[in-house]
Amino acid sequence: MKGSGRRVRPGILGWLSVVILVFAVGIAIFAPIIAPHEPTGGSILSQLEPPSSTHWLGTDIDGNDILSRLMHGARPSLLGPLLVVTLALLIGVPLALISAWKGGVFDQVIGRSLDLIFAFPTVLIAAIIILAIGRGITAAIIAVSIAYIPYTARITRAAALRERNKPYIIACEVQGLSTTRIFLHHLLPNLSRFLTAQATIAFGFALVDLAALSFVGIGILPPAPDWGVMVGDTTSLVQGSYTSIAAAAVCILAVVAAFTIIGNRLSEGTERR
Amino acid sequence: MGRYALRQLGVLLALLLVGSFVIFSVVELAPGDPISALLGNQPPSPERIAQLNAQYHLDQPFVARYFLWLGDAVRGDLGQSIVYQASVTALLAKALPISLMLILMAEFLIVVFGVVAAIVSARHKGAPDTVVALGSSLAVSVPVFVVAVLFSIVFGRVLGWFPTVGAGESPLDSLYHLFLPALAIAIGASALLARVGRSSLKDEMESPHVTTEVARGVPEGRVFRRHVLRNGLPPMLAVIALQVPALIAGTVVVEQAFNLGGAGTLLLAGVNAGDFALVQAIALIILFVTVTLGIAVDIAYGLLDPRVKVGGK
Repeated sequence: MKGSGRRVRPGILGWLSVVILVFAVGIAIFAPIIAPHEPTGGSILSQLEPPSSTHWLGTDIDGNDILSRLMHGARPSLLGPLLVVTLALLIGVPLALISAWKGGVFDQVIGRSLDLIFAFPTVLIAAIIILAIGRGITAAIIAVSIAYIPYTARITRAAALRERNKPYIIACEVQGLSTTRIFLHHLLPNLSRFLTAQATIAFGFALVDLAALSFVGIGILPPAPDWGVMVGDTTSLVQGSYTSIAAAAVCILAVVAAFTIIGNRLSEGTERR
Repeated sequence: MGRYALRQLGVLLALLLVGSFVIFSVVELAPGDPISALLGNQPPSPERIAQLNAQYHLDQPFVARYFLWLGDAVRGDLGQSIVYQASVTALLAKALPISLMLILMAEFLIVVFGVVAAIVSARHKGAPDTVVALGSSLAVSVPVFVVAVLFSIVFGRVLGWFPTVGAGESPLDSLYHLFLPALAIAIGASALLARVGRSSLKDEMESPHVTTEVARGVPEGRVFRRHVLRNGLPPMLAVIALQVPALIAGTVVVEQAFNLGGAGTLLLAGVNAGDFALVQAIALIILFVTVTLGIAVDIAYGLLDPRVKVGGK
């Protein structure tokens, strides 16, 4: 079964997306080394400076170097969605497999519970979680992860049901392999490509949802550097200074587009078998 | 159909009960005892503690407390807000109309843009179709908050065509104030609707029954209205229903971006201040709206599309 996935042809857009992602991840990893200045703690004396040789993109309302904030902001902006997608997969996939295999009451109860979560907007889940554990990046990540569990579980359940009646699974069952063994050694390896594609697409959405929470002030809190926080900087907006906002928005758009394009290319490879 | 509707009603009630229980339980989940969580950072005066005890029925066992709280909420008593020092019901009476109007305007734009784009794309192959396909795939991936800020900067601050703050005084003024925010919500959502509509109408146009009608010499416009649209619309309705939670999330975001002072603004203020009563009330309302709408669309779907078997699996 392993060789049956079609080779993916990334195309120019695909390669461009890969370059963007490698670049963004590189910046995120090496931000403390390559950033020209500190991302926080700037002086009001140097606020809103135009681009210069010391500050390539100028400075923001707090006198911080915008480029350095962008570079440091790449870290929470990329690490957050990574945690979200991982958590959503870790919880959503087992739920989906139980649902698909056991069927009946399990399927109904799990399905309905997921429907309920699905009915809540992410920002509301975040609001409720923050009431319970307080504001900050932890609450934001938990909230978005919860919001993504139904999505992950639904598509995984559908994919698992498609595999369920295929000869290789039936052969395993006839041989008397345990369900756990079938899941781990046979089903999941065959779903891995599909799950990777979906996780890649979800990564982009999760990035947007986390940034939106930071944007409205209940995710990552200013002055911590984060792209969502930077776009939500209303003080600069009122002052008529748009550089910091625009730069962060461009970063978000580029990275999200890259994830979506790569995810779509990967899923094209899984669906047309 | 009647039995199906009845079963859906049962599901609706169950979802509402479970959902409201989750919302209620948050106070219990908060660290420390409920009283200190509810007090937040206000001074723990004996009167305030007594008031909270009465409002949340803290002398009762957990489950009883939930039903008492739910009973109060159903009767319109949503408690006292800490941040605003006012009854939540009164606050919402002022804020909800703004959010509702914003949502209705956004939904109107979404449906108009989405359906028109889908129809144009399906009926006119070539340039119009390409424009819709390309435009929608671009627009669908742009986050609402980015669009909102962009609109606020370009059309509000630089060009000065629209106000960037507040929801307006008179109804007509509100229409003007809320146009840009509604448009910001509508861009991405209508793009998704257009994409789904486009492919669903196209599938329908290539189906055998439509080809037969056209071959029989029935005018194409009539075939389109009677057969293609009728069968192609239900998937679009499903998308509209699925988008409701995202629409509400979008409302919260643009209310913040344009400082509108609607229910979203209240929600955020409540979250930042640890105002349980306010957040729980808004959560209850959103739960009610999304769950009810979801079930209503399920039923409407069955009415619109007789192929959907109602009444059993």
